[in-house]
Amino acid sequence: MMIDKSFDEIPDDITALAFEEAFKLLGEVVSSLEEGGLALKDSVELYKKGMMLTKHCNDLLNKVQIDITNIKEQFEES
Amino acid sequence: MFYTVNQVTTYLRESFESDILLSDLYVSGEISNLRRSASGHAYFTLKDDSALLNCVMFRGQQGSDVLEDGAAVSTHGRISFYEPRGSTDFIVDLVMPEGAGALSLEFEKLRTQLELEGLFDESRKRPLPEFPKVIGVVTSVSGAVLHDITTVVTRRYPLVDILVSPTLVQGDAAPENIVQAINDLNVDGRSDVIVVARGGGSLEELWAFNDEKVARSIYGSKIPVVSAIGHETDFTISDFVADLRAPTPSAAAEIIVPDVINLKRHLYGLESQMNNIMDSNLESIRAGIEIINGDLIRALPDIELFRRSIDDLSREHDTFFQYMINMLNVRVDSADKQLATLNPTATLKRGFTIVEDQYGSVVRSFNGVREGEIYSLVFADGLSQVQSADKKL
Repeated sequence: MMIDKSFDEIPDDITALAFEEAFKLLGEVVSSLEEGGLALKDSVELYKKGMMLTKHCNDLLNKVQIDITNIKEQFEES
Repeated sequence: MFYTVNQVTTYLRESFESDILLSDLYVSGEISNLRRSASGHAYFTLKDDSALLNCVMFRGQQGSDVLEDGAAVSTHGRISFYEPRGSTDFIVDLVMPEGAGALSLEFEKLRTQLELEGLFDESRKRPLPEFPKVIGVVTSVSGAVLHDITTVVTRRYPLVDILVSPTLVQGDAAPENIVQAINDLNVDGRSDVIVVARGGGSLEELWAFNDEKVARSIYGSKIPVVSAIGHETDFTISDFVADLRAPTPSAAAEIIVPDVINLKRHLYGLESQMNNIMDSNLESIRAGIEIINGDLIRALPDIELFRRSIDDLSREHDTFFQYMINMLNVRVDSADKQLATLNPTATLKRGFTIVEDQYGSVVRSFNGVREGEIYSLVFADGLSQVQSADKKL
């Protein structure tokens, strides 16, 4: 039941996920795989998603730059 | 018109208690005549060179352990009039060793008050988000603090945005400013966590962070607050109210964001865990197939056995066949021998002859012989023509 849930939770477009969401999902994928009881086809599918999540997380960690915004200016503008 | 004693003492008590100065008083002096009651209250006098003040310190107040005859102390409290005894008492709610100064006393007083109100309760400390997306920073834009924080955050975890809510961090206007800055971030609502930060400084310079309004604003923040004021050894009221106290602004940044190196290690760990799980799953599937395959093979009919029985059968068949042939051969042989005995040639060889007439017919009887006729005598190795002379019996 938990296996179905994590399947549903993983969107097709993994690259749209924020890091923390992807990281959390990756953890769930691993536990689902670890728990076993999946059809081979499903487990391969899940594994594939897991690898995509891993890549996405790594990409995010490598690419992103900090954006520093001055909130006061924003308040003054509006 | 005479007043009653009670009317006078009541008036005195009410006057003292409504007097702004007398109800919030800092007094320094030397302790003498200290007595502690069984109920935990302390009675003593505060004196200097020329005067003394009766003092009462009720149980559970801050600093009662400092009380000692002869000790020079700074105190805070209020003047009251104790009607049953007709005495003017200084009701002390805070004692510190002398030299602590008014600021320290004020600090202790506010700290005690807010602690009693429950602003520092562990139960209300909120957990910080594990992976903040936006960090709100309340600090001065002119100091090194903002730079320190962004440097640490960039190095450790570049996945966040930093929202700076600039404020004065010292001076009379600072408390209001800080309150406003915290409020702005709460109104904006994007921050997952707020850092209230200031670099190191003297007690006076850090004072804004001991302000009651600032403390209440931190307490009231909907977003968890990390305080990082001054150096590791500096403690402010803000530190006590905040959900978490960081020893320094840089340390706050380290506490708030996860470390990218650790995350990558963690990611790598998850990845290999996933690979191992898949490998072992596939391996066990393979092993399962192997077992089933073995069962399958064992379940197959034994072709070898068939082959062997066929061989056996075929050998038996051959033997039988051979036997048949032999039997036939034997019979053919005996027939042959039989034939041989019937062959006239053999008889002829033994010395008998066959007599044939001129038409080739065998003369089997004496009666068949006519005088003067030509006959053939058939020998084993040839023919001889003879003429019958006469017939005699």
